[in-house]
Amino acid sequence: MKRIVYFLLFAFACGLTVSAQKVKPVEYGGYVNLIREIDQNTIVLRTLGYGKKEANAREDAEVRVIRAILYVGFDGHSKLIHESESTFEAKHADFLNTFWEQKRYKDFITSTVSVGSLAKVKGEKVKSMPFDITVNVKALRQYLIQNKVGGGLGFH
Amino acid sequence: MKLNFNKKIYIGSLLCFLCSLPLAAQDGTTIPSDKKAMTLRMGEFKWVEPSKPAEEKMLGFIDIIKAKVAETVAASGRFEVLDDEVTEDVNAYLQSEAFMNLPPEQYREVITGVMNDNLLIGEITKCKFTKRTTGANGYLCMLALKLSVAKAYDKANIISSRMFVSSLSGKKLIVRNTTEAALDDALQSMTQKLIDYFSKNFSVYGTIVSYDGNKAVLSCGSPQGVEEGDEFQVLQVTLIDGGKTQTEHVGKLKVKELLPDGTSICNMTENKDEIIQRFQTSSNKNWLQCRLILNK
Repeated sequence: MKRIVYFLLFAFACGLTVSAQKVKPVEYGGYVNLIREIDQNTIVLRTLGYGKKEANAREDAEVRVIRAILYVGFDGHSKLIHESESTFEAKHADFLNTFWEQKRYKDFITSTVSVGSLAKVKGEKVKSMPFDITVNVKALRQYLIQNKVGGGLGFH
Repeated sequence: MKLNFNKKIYIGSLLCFLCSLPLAAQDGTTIPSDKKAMTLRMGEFKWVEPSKPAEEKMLGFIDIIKAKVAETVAASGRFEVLDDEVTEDVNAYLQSEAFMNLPPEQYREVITGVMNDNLLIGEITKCKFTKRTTGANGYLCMLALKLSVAKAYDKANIISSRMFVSSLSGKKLIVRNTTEAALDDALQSMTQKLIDYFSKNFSVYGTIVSYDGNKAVLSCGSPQGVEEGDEFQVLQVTLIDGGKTQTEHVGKLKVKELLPDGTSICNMTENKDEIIQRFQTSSNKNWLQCRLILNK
């Protein structure tokens, strides 16, 4: 009986990890660039979002931007997660499930503005569209600290 | 305020950098539609004409001339007209602890603002009043004015200079009761020449706000005096080591339609794919700048 319970718990944990990883943009060779700082807490990033329609591309762009803030960082703004993505996902599956699947990440996006048209990507069966996305980095950092998953110096 | 050696070196380099850069650079942020690309501060207007009226009268004439010139600068749509006093503050600010303590990424914003800051100085080389005592009694005025535009933080760096002379043709020879009214007439006769000078000799700078197919939305339009058919050169501006900028020609835009919000819709007439690709990959270190191509 215990073994069954442990097995079920293990399967549940795997499921969580898998679902947290569902929200990962496909690599079409994109980029995320810092366009400008509105103030110390808010930055505007430009990226290409990929998808069949504008709505899909918009979602994709938002995820790319938040992932870049978490795992990559920009000039004057270091990344908020100070460990590898795979390690972080393994350690904080519950948190990532809430953050991505329940779209908690959208709380830190102030605006998403399309700055170009939806156009077919050469050699791929997908379209792309550029967006300027404004993110409240300070609020995101505080959220990570409150949830004890990152955001602070030396916090793993 | 004591500055250490390294900071003194930095300030010196910064001032050399400011003096060496061309007028062209501008940051890549969207300019609000009611904001001009460049500022022009009304500097000193000197009375150079040998025959000087009484001090009070002379100062009054200078005020009238300065006000009229400021009006024509504003009418050209190229500049935001400002008072001169802030120039001293800008220089002091660049040497202040407050500026030194800014995050490095904000230096670009401050520096770009300073680079687009210009100063207008004037010399009244002739202001002659002819008093008529036969026929219609009163005054006629002949005015010659030399205007120079310099960098606000470096008055010796003159960008452009031109002489303007009033012209009253026979039909418009109206004798006025007062010298002030006669001076006003003389200024009126050169208004269009002044507006043409400011609108045709200083470029408008804008950025691409967005694009759709082969059309781009430009951040400037009617408020900056842009007209349908105007052509803009698209430049890639890159911040390189040492705080300098590098520009590279990318393509061209042609204004198709002026929008009520102060922006304009343009056709990408040269290197459309390159313009789009560079726009998509813009960042705070390299961005696209659009400069009006002046037709002289």
